[in-house]
Amino acid sequence: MKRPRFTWAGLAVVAAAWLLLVVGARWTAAQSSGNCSATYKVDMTLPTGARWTMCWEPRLNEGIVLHDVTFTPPGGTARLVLAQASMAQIHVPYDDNGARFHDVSDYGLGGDRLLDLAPADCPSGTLLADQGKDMLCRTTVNRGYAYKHASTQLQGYALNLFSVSKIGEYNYIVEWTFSDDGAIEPAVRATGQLQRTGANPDYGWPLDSLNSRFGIAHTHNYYWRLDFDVDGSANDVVEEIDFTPSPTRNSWTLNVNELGTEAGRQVDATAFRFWRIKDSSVENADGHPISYELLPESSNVFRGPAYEPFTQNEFYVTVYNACEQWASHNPTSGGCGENLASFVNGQSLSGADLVLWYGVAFHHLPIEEDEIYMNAHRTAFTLRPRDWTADNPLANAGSGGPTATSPPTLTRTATPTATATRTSTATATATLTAGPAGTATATLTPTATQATGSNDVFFFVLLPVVRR
Amino acid sequence: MKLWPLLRRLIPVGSVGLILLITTLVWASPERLFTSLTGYDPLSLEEQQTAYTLALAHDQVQSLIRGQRTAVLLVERHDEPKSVTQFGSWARRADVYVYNYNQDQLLHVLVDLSARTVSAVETLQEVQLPLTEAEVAAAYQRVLADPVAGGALRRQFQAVTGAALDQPEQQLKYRALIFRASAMPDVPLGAAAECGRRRCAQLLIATQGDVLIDLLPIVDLSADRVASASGFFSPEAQP
Ligand SMILES: [Cu+2]
Repeated sequence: MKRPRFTWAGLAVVAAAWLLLVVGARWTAAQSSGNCSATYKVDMTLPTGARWTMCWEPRLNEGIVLHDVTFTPPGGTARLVLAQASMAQIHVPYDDNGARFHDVSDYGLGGDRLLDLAPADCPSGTLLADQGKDMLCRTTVNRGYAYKHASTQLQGYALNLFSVSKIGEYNYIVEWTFSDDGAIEPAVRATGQLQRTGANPDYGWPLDSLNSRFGIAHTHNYYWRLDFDVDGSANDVVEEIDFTPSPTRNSWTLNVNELGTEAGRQVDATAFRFWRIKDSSVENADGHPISYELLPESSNVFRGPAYEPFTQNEFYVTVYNACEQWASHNPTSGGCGENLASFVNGQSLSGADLVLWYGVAFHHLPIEEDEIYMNAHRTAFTLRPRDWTADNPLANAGSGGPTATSPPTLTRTATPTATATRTSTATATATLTAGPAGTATATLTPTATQATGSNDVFFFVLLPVVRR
Repeated sequence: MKLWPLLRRLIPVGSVGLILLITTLVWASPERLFTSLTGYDPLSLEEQQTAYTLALAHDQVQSLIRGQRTAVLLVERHDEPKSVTQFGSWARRADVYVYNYNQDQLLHVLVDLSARTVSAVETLQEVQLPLTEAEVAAAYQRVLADPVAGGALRRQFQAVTGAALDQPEQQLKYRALIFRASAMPDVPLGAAAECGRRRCAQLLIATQGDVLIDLLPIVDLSADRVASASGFFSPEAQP
């Protein structure tokens, strides 16, 4: 038996083949699908089978902007929900009228305000980067029961995305949660440190033992711009839905009012009011038009002075206009409106491409515990499907599905290559910067990491051969 | 002729090394090497540089900024309207924004990166993009150098820390946002009443030890002067 002889030429051939393999795999991974490249794409199939895809883009004013948000129910059809979604303003008027900040237009949530996140900021998630700055944390979260009935139950999951913008002493954590039931929860968490203190007890809360230093009360008016395109922009219709009590208030009548022209509308918790945007031509299997509804959050309602007319309503529907970007301090060049109130100028909604706007107020009277770091205070509302499907598409995933006792075997199947790309970077970062803890965290990132890991092993097996 | 056998041995070694190097690079950052940016992708550094260079080399831009006090505020992907995006693919285009402090004009240059041409140049009034790092630093220096605003800042610092403000770069940290008179139309704004039409920065200041300075001074960057030493106009907000 002749022993195979080692030759450099043979090794070169092996190495060349290896080169082709790696380059080929990575090239495939980097190819785009849809309107963004793999780097800026989120494509997540949750353990229950629901899938969310979207593109993300950092912009100086809005921070992270989401594009082409598409939902696929388990076993269902992929449909566009939102063409674009972002913050449209954070308006912070102080109770003493000492300052009235408009952070999206005047401070900017993006640029150097977007923080570079560390692996510890994104435990069990994956950091997504633009130009080397890790600015978006993508995590799959267990949201507890999707439902429970008799002996059947299902643990629900959601895709969570967040970025952190440092605005003065505050940090705003801008967060989007996309659930496997199709619900979208836009949220902002306010944390960091107080921005203003003063001496007037009429407008604040004492923070020291001398009762001399007061945290000045203020409101965070968060506004979102939601460019819904329910299965595309055509045939979208907005309805206001609420209830009227009978004279003795022992029964309630359902009212469904289609909004015919651009409108600003107020929340009305006593009438259980909400809104929905439906596609009048696309129906579910029961023949009902598919829609998303906006479920308001109205524990605080801010009605400001006449010169802040955008605060007179919480909900707005407008005809798409590219220059209408922010709820207030919108650039007026080219004849564009200055704020939401002037966007509503009588245009007919019929046959138009519609944009929804929604504002939620958080009146913040400081507490002593706001020092030295304010605990993150979360403000959120819900968008969810109404009649997207003829019944619950998660029903088939029940009981046999993942349970609380066997959690993070999450599958991130869609565009696995893209996921692998980012995950490998995150793993490397964790190992380099955070030591054992970071590595452990990164290892928790499921499936995709493991796929990359095994390739990495293959890669390093070759190294000793070459060193001969 | 000792050279040839040595070379013969080096060629395969070298090529294996080269292959390993390329493989490692590819592994480390595939997106940099292979991703052709598309659609909503933000501009790469290279694209930003190209847009900036093309914009500033344009004749009309040159004539608008020559001899003027200007600053480039932003180079960002042009946010295409849906009339463009509905067709599913579109050109890489950039917005380059240059502020002219002498004229209080925002110069907007639309650059087509694919064609490497300037598509449009327009001048805008009363459009104020967020402040650049350099503008924030300049506003802070202006406050420090101002007898009234700088004096108020020093007194406040002394009051909250008990120490003198002698090394303001080490003792304080500062940020700033655009101030517009239209945000507070019901109070006497004095010199700050022109803000919005002019480019103004309102400073948020704290000590390095995270103690707030209860002042929100406003600097008119167009005039390069302090527009309000305290930033407080409403009687309720006076300390
Ligand atoms: Cu607050």
